[in-house]
Amino acid sequence: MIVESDHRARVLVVDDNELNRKLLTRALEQQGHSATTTQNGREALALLRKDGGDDFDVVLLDILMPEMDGYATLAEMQGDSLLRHIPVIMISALDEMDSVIRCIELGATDYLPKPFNPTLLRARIGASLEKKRLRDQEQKVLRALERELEIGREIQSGFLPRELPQPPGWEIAARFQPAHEVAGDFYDAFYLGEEKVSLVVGDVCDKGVGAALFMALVRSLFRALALRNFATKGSDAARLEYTITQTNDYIVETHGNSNMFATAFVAALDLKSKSITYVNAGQNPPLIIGNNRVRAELVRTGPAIGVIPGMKFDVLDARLETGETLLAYTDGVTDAVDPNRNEFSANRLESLAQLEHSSAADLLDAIQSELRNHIASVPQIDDITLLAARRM
Amino acid sequence: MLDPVLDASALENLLATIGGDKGFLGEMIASFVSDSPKLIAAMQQALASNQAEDFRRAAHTLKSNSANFGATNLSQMARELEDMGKAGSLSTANEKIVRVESEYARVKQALLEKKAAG
Repeated sequence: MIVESDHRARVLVVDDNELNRKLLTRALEQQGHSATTTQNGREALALLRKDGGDDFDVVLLDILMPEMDGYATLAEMQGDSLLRHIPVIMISALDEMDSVIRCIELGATDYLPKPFNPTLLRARIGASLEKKRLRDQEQKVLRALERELEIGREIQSGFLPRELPQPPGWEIAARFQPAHEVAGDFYDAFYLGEEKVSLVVGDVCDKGVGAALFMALVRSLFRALALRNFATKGSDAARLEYTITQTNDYIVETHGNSNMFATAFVAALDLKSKSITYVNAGQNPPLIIGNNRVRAELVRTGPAIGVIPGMKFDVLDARLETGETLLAYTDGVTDAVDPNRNEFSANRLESLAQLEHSSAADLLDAIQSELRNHIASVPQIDDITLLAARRM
Repeated sequence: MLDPVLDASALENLLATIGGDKGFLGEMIASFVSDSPKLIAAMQQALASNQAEDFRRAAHTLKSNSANFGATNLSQMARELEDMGKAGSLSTANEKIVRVESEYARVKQALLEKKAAG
């Protein structure tokens, strides 16, 4: 695992005493390391910062120096995120132990007593190198992980609609605010033929990569099955029911062992009759808003998708009148907590929804802005998803 | 004077630190012999102008350098001077510098003999 080059340290020697610099350079070279020397802290910092701290593995630092002493140098290094991780070994005579302790408290890794001893020098450099190697490795793994998550996030964003359908006389808008790189929430809106639009808001019961994969599965399965089923003849209710049953059964049969499930509101909006045929599988009830009031709540019609095999989901109907808006959302909205752990709540969402708004986008922006004020400095815990369809 | 001028084990340690290179040890001795009078002069000058910090730094370097060669007495004297500089009380420093000069003369002779012996 460890290759020879891992034992060779690039050491920066910082000492105003020329004799010490010469001695340490020779001693380090004897032990297979390379040494760069400099006379004070200011010069040392300039050298260290030249390549973002990547040029040196260890710093041997004297305490008493003109221009900038060891304390100030250490403090600067600790305050610099690029230099903080470089191990610093203080060079010190044994009668200066108080100063050494102060340096260790300031963040120095270790100390090397003067006069120098070759065995101690080897041990101190070796230990510092090992420490830095582990730290560098940790950083590498962390960066690789972040890269993977970033790829995941990019791929996942492809599972959300790039553009929302905007049929004449209708406005469809959505807002999606994931809590982490990858999300368990999803929404969708797509044409089912020319006269219908499918609206979907869902939430997978978990967070992180597992939820993101599951979200991709549920969303794609539903979309593919809905497109196929709505290409056949039948009532909207029957075709939607068939689609959701197929989705549910496939997930329970194929992925039942993963104990993952998703709550979802799925609807077929008929652009001509203005009717909404829907299944609410365990989602917070979407609202129908108009004339500054919440006229209806589209209550649950069944359990979450992926829980019960062979489940029959009830299908219900609603209608959107002129000027009315359908608002669907995930529990990340209502459960969002403020710094005092108070939830945003369904009540607050409803009172917001009752305020005058000129468009679906306006409504969602108003909710999002209120949510931002509510959450304030608290880290967002859950994904926040909002979807609105307005009949103009 | 019963104390040896140079501590033999410290010199051995120094030689081990530089990988047993006697030629390089000779260079180090030459540097020490060239630098030390300058450090003593710097102390005298700092004393004359009452610059305690400069005084302290010169004494500190002399302490460190002489310890490298096992010049234990000289290093100890320099340390006492360094402490005076650190405390800012140089009133009795002059007398001590005179003793440092004579101890240094003995160290220099012993080191040059070492160097000549190779």
